[in-house]
Amino acid sequence: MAHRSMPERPLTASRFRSALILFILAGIVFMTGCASFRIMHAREGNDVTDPGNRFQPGKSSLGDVLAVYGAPTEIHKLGVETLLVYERMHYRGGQMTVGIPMSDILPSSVNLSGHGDLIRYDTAAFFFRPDSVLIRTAYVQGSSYPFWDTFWSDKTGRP
Amino acid sequence: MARRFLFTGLILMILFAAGCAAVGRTRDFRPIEPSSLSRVTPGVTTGAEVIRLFGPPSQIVRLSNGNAYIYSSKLSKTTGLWLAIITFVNMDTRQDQVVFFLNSQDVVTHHGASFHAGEASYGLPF
Repeated sequence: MAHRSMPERPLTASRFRSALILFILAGIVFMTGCASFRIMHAREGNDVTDPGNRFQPGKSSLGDVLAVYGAPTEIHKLGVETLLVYERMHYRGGQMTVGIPMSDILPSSVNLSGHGDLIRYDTAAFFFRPDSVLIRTAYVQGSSYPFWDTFWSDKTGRP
Repeated sequence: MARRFLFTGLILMILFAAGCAAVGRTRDFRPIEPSSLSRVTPGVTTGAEVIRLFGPPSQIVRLSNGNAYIYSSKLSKTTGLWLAIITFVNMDTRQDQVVFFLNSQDVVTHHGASFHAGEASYGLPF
């Protein structure tokens, strides 16, 4: 009995290119529906510089601080003292989501996501007596802390 | 040749449809006139005059030796960029703020002002 078989068509360059393009298209469509990454950066507040030795406790006044720093972000009453806070917030965040949207065929979809957020603050604080004379100052530049080390560290303070 | 154009056009269309950019602007507005500050004289101007010049304060803080009137106005600028599966979002918020310190006789003793809302900028998060 004669054995007949279909002749195999050679994979030509044009067929390979077409297959590659279709694969890329499918990949794009699949990825846009199944994976997403989000990177966020936000800053709020005006710049806060280090007061250094610009002001002298017991000598500098409320007017001296207001003349240099302008209006504070917050004002608090601490007993008889007045606290002025100048603050700028730096936020960085990221989110990664991987999932398979199957809501058309199943009641729920497979979804896996993770996110990380780091908020750092540049803050200057000025404490005043009731007669508006400066008692003490405090300053921290949170934005100078390294991003990744600070984010992953479980410890307080500089990583 | 026609098929090549078709595929190229299809890829460009999908990439275009999957990517877009957006800008946003949020104004938390209160009318603070910088020129009105010149009409405030510490030791002379009263709280009632401050309110007549600047309107109701955004916030009043009671202090041990009087009160503080805070006037605040913010501007946020947001930039968003979507590229297929990656999203970039950047937000910058700055503020205009004026503070008046009043003594127990309701007279302004000090005032401070910061006008930085105009410095808010659009950009990418890196």
